[in-house]
Amino acid sequence: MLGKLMKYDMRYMARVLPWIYAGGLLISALLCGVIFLIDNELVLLFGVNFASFLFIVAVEAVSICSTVFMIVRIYRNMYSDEGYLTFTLPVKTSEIVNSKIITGAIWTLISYVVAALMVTGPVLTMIYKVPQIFGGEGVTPLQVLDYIITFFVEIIRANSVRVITVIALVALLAIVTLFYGPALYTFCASATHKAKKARVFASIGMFAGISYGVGVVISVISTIVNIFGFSDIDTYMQGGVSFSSHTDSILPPVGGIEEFASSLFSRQLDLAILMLLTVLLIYVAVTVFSWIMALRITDKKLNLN
Amino acid sequence: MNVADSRPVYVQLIEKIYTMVLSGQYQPGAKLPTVRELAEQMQANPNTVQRALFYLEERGLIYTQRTTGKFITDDPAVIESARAELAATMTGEYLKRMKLIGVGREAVVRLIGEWEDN
Amino acid sequence: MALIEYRNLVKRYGSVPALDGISLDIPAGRIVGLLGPNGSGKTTLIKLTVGLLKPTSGTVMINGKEPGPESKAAVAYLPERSYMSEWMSVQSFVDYFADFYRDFDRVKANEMLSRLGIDPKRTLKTLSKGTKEKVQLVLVMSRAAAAYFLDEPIAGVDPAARDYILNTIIRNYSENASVIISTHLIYDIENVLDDAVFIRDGRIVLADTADNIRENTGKSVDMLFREVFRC
Repeated sequence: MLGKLMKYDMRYMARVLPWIYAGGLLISALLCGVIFLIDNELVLLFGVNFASFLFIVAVEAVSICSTVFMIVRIYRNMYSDEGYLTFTLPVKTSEIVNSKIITGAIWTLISYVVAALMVTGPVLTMIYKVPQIFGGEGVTPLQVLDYIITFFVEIIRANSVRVITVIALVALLAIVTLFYGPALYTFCASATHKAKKARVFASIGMFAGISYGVGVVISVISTIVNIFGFSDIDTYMQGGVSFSSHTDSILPPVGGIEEFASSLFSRQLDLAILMLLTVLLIYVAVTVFSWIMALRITDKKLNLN
Repeated sequence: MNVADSRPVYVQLIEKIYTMVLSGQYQPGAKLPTVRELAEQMQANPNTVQRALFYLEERGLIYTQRTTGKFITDDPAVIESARAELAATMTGEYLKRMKLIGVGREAVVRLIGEWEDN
Repeated sequence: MALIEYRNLVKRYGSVPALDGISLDIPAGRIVGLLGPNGSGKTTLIKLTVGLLKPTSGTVMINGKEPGPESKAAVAYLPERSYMSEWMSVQSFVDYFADFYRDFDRVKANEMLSRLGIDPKRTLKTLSKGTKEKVQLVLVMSRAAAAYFLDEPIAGVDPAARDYILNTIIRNYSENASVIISTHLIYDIENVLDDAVFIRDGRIVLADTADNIRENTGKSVDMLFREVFRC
């Protein structure tokens, strides 16, 4: 019966979410078009800065809209009058909870893909149009792309084990975060379902609060980790190889990349691994806790008004 | 069914079916509707209808033909005796009520004799 | 073993007992009236049977099992409120029920809907309250369940619809299934009842067949109810 529940949950989300995503992709395409068409460099750089800000807002908006929509859906289907039907279906209550979380994860994955597409388009257009932002004066788009590829190849060659670990951890983290949101807001909706008033706001508030709290914890940890990291960059800046003289270039010069890759970056990778492990643990803990609590509340403490 | 009548529903049903047979609404030998149809018609519980029919079958007013259903008897003697019984009961009730309002037997007889349908 | 058995069923919210020790057997093939004033515990009893609440103590068994996916497949529930999402069409609801309930008779449901003149393509949002209630009733009664729990099915419903609902219940009757009607409008349904259960303050005050009540007390169930629950 889990499959059946999931079918209906997916169908319901498909009524609204694709429109939100289409809107986001449209905005992204518009931005690509704008970058492509404007030829005045000054206007372009100024405009793009401003547009990037708006764009980040758009990406956030897409994410927030889909999250709010999913929370409201779960709320309605489980804890409003509809709950009288949902919880009398011939299914286990655990299947109801699992269906919500798993379909939430699937749509979260789709939203990640959409967000990635939304960002990649404008970035590639920027590389094409204004390569000097990335590589300094007199550089062509192909050179930038080639350079980025070389950059990563060198880092991988020098730190293969660490890089693989990082990639594995990032992948795990990505998978966990797919379930983190849905599990958390299913828990929040379940925890507030017996409240007398404004239950949806209470669950959204609880969700936002816990997400913020988790964010704060992660920021604190990352700051601590970065303090160790910064000392290395400092050494790098003062002592040995220096960055390109063009301070508006993001990437280090091709000449110094091997040293950068082998010595400094390996330390950065170690710190990244540490960060990723900690963050992963935090997310896994919150996700598992939320999931278990949601199951427990619906099984034992259910009380539709 | 009259809810204000607080006799058991199956009793009311029995009376109703008797009335329908004796008034000719259900002809002798006619087929009765099914229990479910009767229940629906009279807005009564099928179990209650079943109980009433059982009573009537014991009294011989209806009989069951296993594959076809239930039928009113076509034995005139049974119907006449039912008519006599019901008439007697109703008369008894009538006389009791008349006595309650102080109308004696003679006055009742005179009333009946002089009564004209209009 | 009766179809539904309640043994010392207690449900407390905090310190307040909504049900204070209910013991009752409901055999198959009965139409039972769960009769009591508002707040007497009728809805709580139904919710416990249907799996929307867990008991504080005591047991409720349907076909010998505690409420769970199996019992939910055998029990049909018609709540007082509308439990269908507004944006779905009547037809999609029929499909939904057919999808989840193996005992759902799609043909019967479509027949009943067309006889009521309800267009299956319309979304629920466009239907009047009375029509929505009829749709819910049709869906519930199109299941071949072992027990039907109808919570106030005729309250706030016009007399013609009331007749329709009672006739549907009668027409649907099977000796393998029972119908439990919770209501405070006894007058309208009493002729349809086999059994009457009076419930007050979470306790059963009286449980007997409707015919016995009439024979023993000389009163209709409605009259007795008014006496027993006089304010």
